[in-house]
Amino acid sequence: MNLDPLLLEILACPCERHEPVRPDEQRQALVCTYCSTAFPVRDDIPVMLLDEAEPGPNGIGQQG
Amino acid sequence: MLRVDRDLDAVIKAYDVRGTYPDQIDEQLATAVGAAFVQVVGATTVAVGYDMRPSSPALAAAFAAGVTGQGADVVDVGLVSTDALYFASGSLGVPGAMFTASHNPARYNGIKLCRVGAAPVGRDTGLAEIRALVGDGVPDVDVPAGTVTRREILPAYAAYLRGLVDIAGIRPLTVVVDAGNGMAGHTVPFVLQYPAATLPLTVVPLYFELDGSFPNHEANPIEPENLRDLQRAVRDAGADLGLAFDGDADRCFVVDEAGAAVSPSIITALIAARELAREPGATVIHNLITSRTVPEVIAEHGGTAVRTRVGHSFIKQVMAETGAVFGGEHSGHFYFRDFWRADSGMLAALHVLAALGGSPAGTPLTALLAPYERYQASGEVNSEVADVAASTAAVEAAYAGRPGVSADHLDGLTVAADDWWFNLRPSNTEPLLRLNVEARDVATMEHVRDAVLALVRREAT
Repeated sequence: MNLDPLLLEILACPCERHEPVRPDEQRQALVCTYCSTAFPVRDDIPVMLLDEAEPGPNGIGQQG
Repeated sequence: MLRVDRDLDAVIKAYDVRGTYPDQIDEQLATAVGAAFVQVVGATTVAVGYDMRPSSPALAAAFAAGVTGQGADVVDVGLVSTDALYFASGSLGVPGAMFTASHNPARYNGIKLCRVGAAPVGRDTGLAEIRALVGDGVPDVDVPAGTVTRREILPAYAAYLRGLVDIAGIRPLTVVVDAGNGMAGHTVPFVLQYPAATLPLTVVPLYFELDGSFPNHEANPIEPENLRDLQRAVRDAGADLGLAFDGDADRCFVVDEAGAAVSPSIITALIAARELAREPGATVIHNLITSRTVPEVIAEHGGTAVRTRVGHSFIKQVMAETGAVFGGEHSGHFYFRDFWRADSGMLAALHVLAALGGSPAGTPLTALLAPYERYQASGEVNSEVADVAASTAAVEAAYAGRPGVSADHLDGLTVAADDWWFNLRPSNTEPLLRLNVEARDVATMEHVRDAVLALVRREAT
């Protein structure tokens, strides 16, 4: 994944906590540091939409 | 309890809040709307941005006070365009509020609201509830007040847009940009000029000074008189193209190297072709009064064209339902799936720059767009009528049953034949019928236009 550092600095999870996301190269996704919801990165474009995301183990916005 | 004693129906419209400052919209109303917005969307954090109107910072601060009073936090993104506020909502994952009255004169202001991920808030998606809460009085809550944090988002906005459309490798271009003293004067430098000298673009700025009194011309490029300065400047500079933005810089219009305005339908077709090259077989949305060129180009590039009613809420809804990659409207609004399905004139401008800059050296914009210039359009012609339904029925009766002619009612009345079509739709707010005609040649277009207008106006008298 080739993401602009400026962008990575600002991107946050749309869950209620709005925690930062970190890149996961293996999954080609950005993952919320709080709820582990994964947002796909397609052609280096992060898709930060909940209806396209894979929820974390305890659900969106739940620590996990 | 926050209660506002004024005519809310006059200012809370179908898609936004809009009115004159301070008699229709003031700080007290902004605070109440902020508090109600938090309750209706259940926000814990709200991004707040504003345009260059003199009343905007105070209204945004009052709105923020309403938000924090409900215990939610505010991310203050400061002076931004409406699409940059959508970017803040999408990238930060929070609902947002933008203080702007778009292209309206200086005495106006307003609020555009969105949910998480720039999802629209209109009458049916929260605005009616906000109106009811503000009218009844927003109940106080016993929670600690939220905080306000200032955050600069324009560098990240610029990086995101340039990640979507890379213009670093294009051939050198000269572009005149008319910001109309609106927000593009602030956002264009971030996207097209910083970091200095890294892009092969020479940007000639016109009216970049932020000035909510609009001293040069109205910031509404859909009106031909507001494009004249840009057209002249493009010719004088020998530029490759011109770009004009509206007051809150969400709409973008293009002028070719000869100084002629390019129809937003043509730009829709150009971007559709580019998006389909990137994503073969994708769906592209267009409203029913964009040129017939648009569905033709989508089909020729292997895409699926889907036609919608006029209005951004319909475009966004159909884009979500169909997974469409792109949507365009005749009004200069361009919507992108990868931009949270929100509209961004700046992203459309980047597509045009990338398309022209990727063509062989010496190719003028007119040549690049020539394959899309297929029809003659009337532009929108408004007629004041006493009875919208009766006038429409008279037109339909005159055309129904003619051989080779079909009609539908997706939005008003659309009548189509092989070489021409027209749409006649009512205004939402005024006793007006809006006519759009398109045909293979000027004579046919004028003939159909005048025939329909005669029917409409005969019924009106």
